[in-house]
Amino acid sequence: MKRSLGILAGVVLLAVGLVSCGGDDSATTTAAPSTDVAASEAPATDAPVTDAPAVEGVLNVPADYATIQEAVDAAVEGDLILIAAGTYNEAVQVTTNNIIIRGLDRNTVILDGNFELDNGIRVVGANGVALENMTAMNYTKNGFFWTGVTGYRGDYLTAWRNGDYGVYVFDSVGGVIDHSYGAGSPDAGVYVGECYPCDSLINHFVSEHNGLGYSGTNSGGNMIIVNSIFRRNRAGVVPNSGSYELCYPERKTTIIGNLVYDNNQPDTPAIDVAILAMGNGILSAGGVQNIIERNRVWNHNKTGIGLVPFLEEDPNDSLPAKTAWDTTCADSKKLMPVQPDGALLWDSQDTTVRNNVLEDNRRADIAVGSAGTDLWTLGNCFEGNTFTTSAPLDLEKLAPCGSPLSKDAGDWTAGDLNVITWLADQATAPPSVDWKTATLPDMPVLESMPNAATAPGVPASATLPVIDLDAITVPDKID
Amino acid sequence: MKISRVSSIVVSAVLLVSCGADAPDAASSGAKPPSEGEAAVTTTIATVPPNGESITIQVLDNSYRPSEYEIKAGTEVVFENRGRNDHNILPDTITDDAGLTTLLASDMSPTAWGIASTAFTPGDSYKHLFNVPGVYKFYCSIHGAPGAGMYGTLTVS
Repeated sequence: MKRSLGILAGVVLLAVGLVSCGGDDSATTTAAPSTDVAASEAPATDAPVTDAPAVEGVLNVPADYATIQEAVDAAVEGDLILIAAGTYNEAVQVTTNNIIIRGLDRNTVILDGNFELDNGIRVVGANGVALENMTAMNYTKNGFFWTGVTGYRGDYLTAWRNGDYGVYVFDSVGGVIDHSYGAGSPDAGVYVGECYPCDSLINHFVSEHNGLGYSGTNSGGNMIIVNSIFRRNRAGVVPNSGSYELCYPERKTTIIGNLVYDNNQPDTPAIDVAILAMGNGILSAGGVQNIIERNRVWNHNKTGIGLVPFLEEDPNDSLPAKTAWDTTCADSKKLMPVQPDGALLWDSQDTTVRNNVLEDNRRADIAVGSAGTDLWTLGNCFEGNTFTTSAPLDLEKLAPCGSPLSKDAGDWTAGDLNVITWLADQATAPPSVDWKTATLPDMPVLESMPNAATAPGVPASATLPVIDLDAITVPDKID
Repeated sequence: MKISRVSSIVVSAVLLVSCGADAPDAASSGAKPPSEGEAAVTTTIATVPPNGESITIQVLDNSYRPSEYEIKAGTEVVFENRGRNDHNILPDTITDDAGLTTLLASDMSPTAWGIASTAFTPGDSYKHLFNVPGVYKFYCSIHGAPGAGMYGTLTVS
């Protein structure tokens, strides 16, 4: 079944980015590994069409406004704020729709929180805001943060050493995070959570030296993570369910064409979940109906791709019935919780793991586990993967795609994944380190947005660009 | 349950101005200078005694659940931080924890309320008796702004 994302005509959000990029990502000016995996590069998207308002004006910082916040406060919908090179000790809040905030150079336009300010740029309830081509570092919470928005875009962003997340998208739909980087956060380098359907795309992101490379709690539904690199975190890509946020469960996230490797890093800042998940590449923790395909995953102490349960000891609601999995986030927020007795075990279910290439994942290249639930009832399937080890053994024979799973397919207990032992591992795992002083590699000089000074400002569209998922192939190793 | 009311009710203009809090949208009449031969009118905030009722609002990451609620004056509201993040509960007119601290230190009226993030970490709870009718808008400054992101409304009748 062809799975390219047919999309409506009103796609503007990457018009400038695609034109100005010219697909020239391989010509990076940085010593750091490119975010691009040339052999697996997604084909150029269709020329997008904008339905966003035309640019009204350009506000220059500091030439016209001494601070970014002053410019933001003065901006009207459609305005482009251009920021010259320099260090800005600001926590910027944006509440105006459809403005674009762009640094003239990604590496020299630096928002620095000095370990005192909370967020580099926080977009609260403002739709269509695009953040482009700058660095946010040393913030106590997040580098770049959108919450409660429809339509968002982050391009050529660097988030470095921030106290919660690098790039944090919460309760927001319709957006793209592209050509961006996150390092040094205890939670995740990039996060998209509490949305269904999210209609969101993470493309060409590099996430390293965080607790988690990617985190997505209760997100999904046209939630696409492609062509990205997750390495040297405690754990790589970890979508999960939990009732500590709304809109559960996590479901229908598509993870294709990524490099996920070396996620055993013992010296990162890390929240407790990151320590628990340490040593795993792509780990669905209680997520359902996800698609994990054509990723290259290697060198993990635990699993390469693991489908495991998420144990919630003090939940706020009961498990949603399978028939409720398609309830939109907006509708589910209207429901009142039903307090359960005791802990909840969110099992990973109905997930497809197909055509990935895995090696040197010491516990198992591919794995599925639960704590008390019969694995053949969970509906997860594995097919066409290149791998050596699995848990349980013969996993692709036990759980092929395209046919109902059966208890009689084989021995589901031989070599099974004992996830309970991970709880004990957590107690002896290397503890978190202070994010303010954690050892990080030298901050990379990364590819800046082409033509930043002259490209017109285009507000973020809530409509995703066309991306041909079927055309994405397993990327080659780059390290 | 019958709710007794104070028969002569006028809101103190001084208290409302000085509290600077998310003063409820209850109708109020300020003090007015007496006419010749007329006694001065003093104002106080009318409060309703506790009615013994209590409701709980779950504070999750990053939402209040429920985010909107109607209660009778005299009801105690318990906010429980059941998320994994620190949160605060600020009236809409307050911008941060420091502002709340200043408010609560200077205003002892029942309409001055809220909790700073330092005292509202995961597992913490905060309770307040809402005994003055009105509409109380609040938010978490860490994860929202007034009316956006993480915010809520209590309507006290």
